[in-house]
Amino acid sequence: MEAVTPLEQYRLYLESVEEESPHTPASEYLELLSPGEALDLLTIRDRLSTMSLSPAEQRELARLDELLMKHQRLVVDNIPHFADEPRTRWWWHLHEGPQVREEALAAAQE
Amino acid sequence: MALQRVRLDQLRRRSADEIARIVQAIRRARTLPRLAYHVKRHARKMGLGSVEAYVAALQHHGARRDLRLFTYLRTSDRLPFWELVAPDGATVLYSQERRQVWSFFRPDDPDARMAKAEAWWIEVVAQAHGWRFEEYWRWKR
Repeated sequence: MEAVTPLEQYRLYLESVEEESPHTPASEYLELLSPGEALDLLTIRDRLSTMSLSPAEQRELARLDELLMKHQRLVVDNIPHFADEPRTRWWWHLHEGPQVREEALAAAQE
Repeated sequence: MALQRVRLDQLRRRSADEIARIVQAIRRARTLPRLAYHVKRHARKMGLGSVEAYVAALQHHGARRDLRLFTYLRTSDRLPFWELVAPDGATVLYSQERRQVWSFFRPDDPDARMAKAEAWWIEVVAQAHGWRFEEYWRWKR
C-alpha cells in the first residue's frame, strides 16, 4: 500500500475542496466534505501538530491552514463543537469564528 | 437536546424493517456521487490505483461481515448519516436523505476519529429480531 503522509492527506482534502468549490452550486457546497471526513480532517491536523516538520513543511502547513480557514463552514456545519479540546488545537474551535487561529498563534508566541 | 439523544429517539420510532432496508442499501451500493473527487482524495491512502479498483473495494466492503454500524446527525441541518466501519477503520458513509453513499475512505487515524465520535454517534447492533441501539459504545473492545 502506498504510504500517504498526514501532510499529504491534509493537502488532498483541502486542495480538492478548493479546486471543486468554484464549480459547485452554493446549495451543494456542504457536500464537499462529509461529517465523517471532517472528523478525519481534524484528527489529521491533530497528528500534524505533534510532528516535527521541516521549515518547508511548516510553510506548507500554514498555507493549508489558510484553506481550512477559508472553508471552515465545511467543518462547522458538519460536526459538533468539541469544546473540551485545548485552545492550542484551534481547528476544533472553528465554531467560535476565525479568530481562534490568531488567538492560538498569538498565545504560542508569548 | 444533544444530537446523540435526538438520533436515538428517531431510531426508536423506526421499524426494524426500515433500518434493515437502509443497511441493505448501503451494502448493495455500487458507486457514489462525485466519484472522481473521492477517488482523488482517498484512493491512494487505500492503496487503490484506479477508479475501477476504488469501486471494486467499495463493493467488497459492503459484503464484509465484520463491520460495525453507526448513525448520527449532521450538525447544521440534522440530516441523518450512516457508517459501516471495518476493524481497520475503513468506512462507507451513507446519506439517508439522499439514499446514496456519500464517501468511502480509510481514516488517517481510525482510533482517534472513532474516539471523537463516541459522544455523537449511535451504534446500531443487529439482533435475532430487530436492532439494538447503543448510546454508550467504545471503538476499542
